[in-house]
Amino acid sequence: MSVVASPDPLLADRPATREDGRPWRKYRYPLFKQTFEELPDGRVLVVDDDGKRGLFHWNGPWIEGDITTVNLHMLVWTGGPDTPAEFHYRWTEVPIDINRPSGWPEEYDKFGHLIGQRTDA
Amino acid sequence: MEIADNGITDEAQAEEQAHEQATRPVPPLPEHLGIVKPHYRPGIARVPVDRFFKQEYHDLEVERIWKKAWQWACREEEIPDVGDYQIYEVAHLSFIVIRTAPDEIKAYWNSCPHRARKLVTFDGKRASELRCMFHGWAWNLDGSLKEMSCGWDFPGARPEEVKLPEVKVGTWGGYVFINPDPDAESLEAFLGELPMVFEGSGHDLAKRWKQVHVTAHLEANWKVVQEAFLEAWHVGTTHPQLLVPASGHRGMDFVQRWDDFGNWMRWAVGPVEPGKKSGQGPMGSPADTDEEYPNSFFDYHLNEERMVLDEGQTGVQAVHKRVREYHRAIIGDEVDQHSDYFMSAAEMQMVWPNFHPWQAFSRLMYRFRPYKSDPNRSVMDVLLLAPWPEGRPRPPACKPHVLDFGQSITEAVSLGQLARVFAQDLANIPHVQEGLKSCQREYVILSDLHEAPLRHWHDRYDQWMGLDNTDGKIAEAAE
Repeated sequence: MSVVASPDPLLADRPATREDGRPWRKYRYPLFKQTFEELPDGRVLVVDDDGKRGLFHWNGPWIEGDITTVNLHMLVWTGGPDTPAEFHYRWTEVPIDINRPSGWPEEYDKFGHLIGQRTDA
Repeated sequence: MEIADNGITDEAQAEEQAHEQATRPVPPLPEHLGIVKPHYRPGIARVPVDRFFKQEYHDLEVERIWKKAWQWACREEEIPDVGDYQIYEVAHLSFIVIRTAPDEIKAYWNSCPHRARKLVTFDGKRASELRCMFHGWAWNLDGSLKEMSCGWDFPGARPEEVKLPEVKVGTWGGYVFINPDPDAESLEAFLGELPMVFEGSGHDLAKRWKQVHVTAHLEANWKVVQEAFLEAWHVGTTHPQLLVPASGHRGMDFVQRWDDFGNWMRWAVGPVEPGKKSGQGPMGSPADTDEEYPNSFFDYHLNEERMVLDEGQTGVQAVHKRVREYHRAIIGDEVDQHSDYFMSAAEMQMVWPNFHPWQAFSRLMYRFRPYKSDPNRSVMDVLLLAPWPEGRPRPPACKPHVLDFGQSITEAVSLGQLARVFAQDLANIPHVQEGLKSCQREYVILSDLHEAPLRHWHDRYDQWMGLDNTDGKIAEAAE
């Protein structure tokens, strides 16, 4: 399995992608000038612009490092439960298929119970 | 009321507008944005915490709010045929909303006039009558008595006692509202200028399709949940990934505005005022680069293939173009009738006591209700109302995706990324509910600007509850 080249050993040791093939999530939190990056096993690495780092569980608890307190919601967004790839769209872009009676694209039939398709139609 | 010049006062914003009009015919910013109300009752407010968890407040709310207020019950397209009905429940109250004729909708208390059994316990289609499943009394769709089994056994029963008790009905924008108070003002009078904001700017919600409906049961008072959506200040902490789009960037620095329209309040983010261009936005943090704005707006993280700006294109323009082209695929060139304002700006209306329709292509609508007789539980509804092309049949209204207590809203995948955004909000909710009960000070403090709508809401709460001269406390009212 290939690995991502990175100066941080935690990043270097992780698989190239998440299990579902999507890239590891990585966000910048401009308010505190920190970068949050997803790691395996529900961990999140936080690095600030001064090079300080901290390792956390996605749901909050600190594991190690100089950074000991960070925004919990940023941890969750970076390393917590994710939307399935099929539904990873901004809400203004929820797909519509105007040629189908349900209005939903055909590939969403398998998710009918989750997307509110009529069951009596 | 002061009519401003549509608020196009900032140089960069004017530049955006000029660019837009130079590239294609585009209408100006919607006129309603030019309506500016004075800052709502300047100052902070102190709100007692009792109202968020004590039973007596819940009980009084039922009598003075839920039996008196206009409240959204269902969408018209959910009951398209005569005899179609929907149940609407708030606290322990239950109502039947039924189409009685192609152009008539009525609503009744969902309780048999005989022994008070609920008449219906699930939504129905094309009913020819409403019949109680206890002793078999039946009513016509118009509420008149159809059949009274063993009627001979009720000598002296008055006709008004055995007809279905009706509640008032009103419609706006495809929404069906009910009001149990027979003396209530009309819905039209209650909403006032609200239709002007929607129909007046080319966004008639009656021409929308209920594509997504999520009903989430939550472990917190309905007011606690609602207040998580009554201000945008929390975005910087609770939705840090939205900090950049919420703060804006070159040419689209946002300023928040709260306008008091009486029974409803408008939250709008619009261009900054002259001399107030901060480059920081309300959240205090602009994007580091122009490309950060569209990438944050659409949630492309740093390890993904990201949006790249065209030569000379700003980040704001990239967002507008993408949203416009997305909707062009659905409603065609009609999308060009709408200003770029509608492609990215946020605008929400908060209608007393619990109805929150968002403007335009945002699609969103929220509703918050107490759950049965429990002041510590509530129900939140989220709708996405989607456009569809003129001349094509409207897709059928979806059924609600109901999440039970304890289920994560991230299971509501039809909301897309928004499900995760809501999960951030709702992660705070139970902790707020618990914190209110262990609040040593016995009140919470609401800010002057960012929390003006909460102050506005609680002022109305005090008025409706009869607490406006008692420091907002029932106990003091009784003394």
